[in-house]
Amino acid sequence: MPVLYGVAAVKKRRKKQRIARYRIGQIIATIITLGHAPALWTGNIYQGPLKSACVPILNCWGCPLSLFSCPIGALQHFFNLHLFPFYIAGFFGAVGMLVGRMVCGWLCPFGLFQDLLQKIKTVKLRLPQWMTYIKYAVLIIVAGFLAWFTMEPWFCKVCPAGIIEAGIPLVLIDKTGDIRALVGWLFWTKIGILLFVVVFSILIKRFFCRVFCPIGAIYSVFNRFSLVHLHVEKGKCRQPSCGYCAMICPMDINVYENPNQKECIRCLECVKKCPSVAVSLSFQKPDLALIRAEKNSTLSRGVV
Amino acid sequence: MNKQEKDSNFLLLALERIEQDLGRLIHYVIIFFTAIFLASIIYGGMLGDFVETETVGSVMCLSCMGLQQ
Repeated sequence: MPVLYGVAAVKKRRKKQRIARYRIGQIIATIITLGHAPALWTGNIYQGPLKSACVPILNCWGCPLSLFSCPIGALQHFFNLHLFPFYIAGFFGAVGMLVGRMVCGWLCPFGLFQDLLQKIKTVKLRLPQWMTYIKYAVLIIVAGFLAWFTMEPWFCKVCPAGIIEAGIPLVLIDKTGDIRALVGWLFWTKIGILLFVVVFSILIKRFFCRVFCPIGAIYSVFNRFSLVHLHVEKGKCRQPSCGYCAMICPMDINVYENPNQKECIRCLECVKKCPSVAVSLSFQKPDLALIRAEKNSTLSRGVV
Repeated sequence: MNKQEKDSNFLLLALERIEQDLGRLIHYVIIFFTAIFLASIIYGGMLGDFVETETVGSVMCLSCMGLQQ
């Protein structure tokens, strides 16, 4: 059977587009994390044992529908108390070591929101590489130093996921008017931040995840070392004439250059759709093909 | 077999061995750090981090949602 590359492959695949597997994961995760259904008629926040567990994604714990805690909110809370967050640090580390940023691709409701915004047909822009380093400053300065020294959860105060999951729904479902009376400059600032993120998420793939998300910043550090990682067989890969993986990547990564770079969310679309089946998911082990190639070149040069 | 061939074979064997050892080592390093992080979660739990997280997560932080009191 002939293998199609480039535009021919794109046209063929567009004909039989189905819902992506990671999208199903995102929808299921959204239903589970925001699964406190009684809040729809009572408006009350969930107060139970599940709140002691964090989910590995951005999930506003002030949302009445939320069943679990937000790890970045909990991290800031421990910093507010001037305590080392053993639980949260261990949680981030364990998830990062095992799957890296895979949770961003498969579980994050805010990632799903941005992916849906990206479907709006308009001019699309590419994000300059330097902007992807802003999220480390957000993590260290806003969620770290500011939380520690001012004893306020500053990232929560500017988090766009918080306003969309908790702030806006609470104001809308408020029957007594008590909550609506509390709307002030901070609320409108958060609305402005949300609009900014929405506009740029339409123009740029996963804008918030790549530029501002502190959770993404933490997991990105583990991406190169995590147990689950991607592998590209250079012998099979037809780049640059193909480049299909880079085109479908929701994070605008050139997969064929380095599949495990910090921005990869392991959605596995490149694994599923690579026309030459060159990209695969594997567990951490040395690149045997690379070692063999180096060995052969060393021997052929007669260097001992 | 001349000296260069002998040395090449020796290098070949050494690289094969390194290849196998490196595979094992990386797995051990990942398992080691994962164990450290899991121990950190358990230690945090013993210090009361779970209870603290549940308590703070059960309170509606209005200022965090942009609502001023």
